[in-house]
Amino acid sequence: MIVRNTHQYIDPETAAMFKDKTVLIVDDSETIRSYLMGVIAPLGAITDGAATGEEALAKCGQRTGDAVYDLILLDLILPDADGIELLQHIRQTNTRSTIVMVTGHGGIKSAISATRLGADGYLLKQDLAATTRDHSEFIYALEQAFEHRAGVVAKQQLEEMRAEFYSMVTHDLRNPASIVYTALNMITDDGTDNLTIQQKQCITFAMEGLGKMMHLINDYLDYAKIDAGYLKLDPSDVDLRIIVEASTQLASLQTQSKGQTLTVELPDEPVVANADAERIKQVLDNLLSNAHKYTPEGGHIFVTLAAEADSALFRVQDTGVGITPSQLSALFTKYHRIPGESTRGIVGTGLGLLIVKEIVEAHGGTIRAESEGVRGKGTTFIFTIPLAGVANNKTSPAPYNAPSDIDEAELQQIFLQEAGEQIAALHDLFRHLIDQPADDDVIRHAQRVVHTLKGNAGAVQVTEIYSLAAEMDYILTQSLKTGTPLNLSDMEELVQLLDQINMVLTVHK
Amino acid sequence: MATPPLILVVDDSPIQCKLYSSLLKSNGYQVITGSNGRQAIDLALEHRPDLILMDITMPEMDGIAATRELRTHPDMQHIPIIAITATTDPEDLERARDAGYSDAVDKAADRGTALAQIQQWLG
Repeated sequence: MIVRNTHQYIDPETAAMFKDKTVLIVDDSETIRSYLMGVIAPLGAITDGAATGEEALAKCGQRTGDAVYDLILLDLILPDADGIELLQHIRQTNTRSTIVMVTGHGGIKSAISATRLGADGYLLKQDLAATTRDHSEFIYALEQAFEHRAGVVAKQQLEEMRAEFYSMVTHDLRNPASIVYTALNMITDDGTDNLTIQQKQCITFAMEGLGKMMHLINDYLDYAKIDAGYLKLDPSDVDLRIIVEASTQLASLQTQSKGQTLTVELPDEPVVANADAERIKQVLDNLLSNAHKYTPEGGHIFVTLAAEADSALFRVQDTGVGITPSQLSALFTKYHRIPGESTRGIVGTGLGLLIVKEIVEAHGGTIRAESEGVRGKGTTFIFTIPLAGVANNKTSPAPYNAPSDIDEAELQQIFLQEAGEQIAALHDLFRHLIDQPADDDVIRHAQRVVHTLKGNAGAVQVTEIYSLAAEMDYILTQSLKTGTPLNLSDMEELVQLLDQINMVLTVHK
Repeated sequence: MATPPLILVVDDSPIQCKLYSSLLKSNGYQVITGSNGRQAIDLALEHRPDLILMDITMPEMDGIAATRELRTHPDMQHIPIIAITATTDPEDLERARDAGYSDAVDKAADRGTALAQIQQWLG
């Protein structure tokens, strides 16, 4: 069926694509807004307009979760906002809406760069004006943008599912493996020494095998975390020499068993960096374990740490099989294993170096490998970690003061994320309460959510949200105490308070 | 030197857990954390903390029920259990006290005040 109106012929596919889609047109020019509406509305879409960035944000803020606008047309230059900044704002909470930038001649470059910042396409104003009757090109551009966004969303969902699956499987493997490990430990450590030599041997084999398996699982788990963007560092000021000592002590047991020598060179002065000690040790452990594995019996391994101008430089050098130049470039990528005779029989996930690289980079450092690819000349891994700032002149810590190791930025981040979820939950609860204002269980539920939101806002000292939430708390508490259902004006106020909180939150983001 | 006091922090919100454990750790205390009342009971019985700092509203088992249950245990009669709360409603606070909470810290209190209040209970 062809939908016909006075201006356009619309093919059924286009009509299907636009039917009931919600569209927000953000432009300070009334003429352009109504022009765009005039093109889009006849396609069956529901259009809405905003003249300023503030209005646009407010309108977007009212729609969360599945209710977000399907399409947002965003003018590049607004009286109170920069279209690209606005785009980034919106994208922080909303990855579902298709966003198309609208620009004049001068803005093409910016519009193109906007597509790298989360826009799905751009339209030129002069093209709109030129095509007075036939809007098919314009509509086609929007359709392309819709498809682009659908692709992005699908990819994200797939990534999330994959990461979840990954980490679920790994957890399900790790827990039982730990139980077996603990159980075996209990048999050997029960103090009675009533096992035969053969039984002890068997348990040792079992524990060794299990140790390898847990090592692999931990690698996968780390990788899953990194892949999902969850690698969190727990940094503090540490003397890196201590980490090198700890790691090399452990490795020396292994190298001795293979007749390798391990030489460690450390500076006399402390080398202090703000780093996650566990993670840096993991990097060293991994590099040392590689050096040990890929270096023949009787070979040498050298570890050095040096303080440079503003970074600490670690070197782990071996006299092993070496890496050819072509292999070097692929070294820090997923599942890379050095192929060939000399590496056969070595257990590994191939994820180790990828994890190592992620950890080093998360610290703001760099890592590289050097090798001539000649057997016996070995490989050198070099990585750097920035040194701790010199401004750390702590003399007498004032009692009760905000301690230095509260990571305010991280707290803020968790707060923003949690608050987003709480607002979405309250939104749903309030919708229910509009229909059933006397549902005490739901009021109590809302009160609990409000308490958490309020408490968290208090904890991170976002006072505006704290006081808005306190007002909500008051309304809900009164209703519960007096046993009177929420009336219409209560509901209106609650919804308004929620909107205001949402707005404050958007600003904070 | 005696080992530093061990404090159990229980809150379903990661912010509160993180905030209080950072605050306490950096002031020299040992900290373990849990996220609901059931965990609080298990951790308390296993580790015997010197003080428990626990939210009231939590999923699975709330702080009121957990405190009530802990107080029935002979070893848990005298341990300070302090509520971390966002409520200022006297009735709610009384309910918490009836359940066996010793004190309450306001979630929005500034950190120095909160810490001082906790330290009072450690003598």
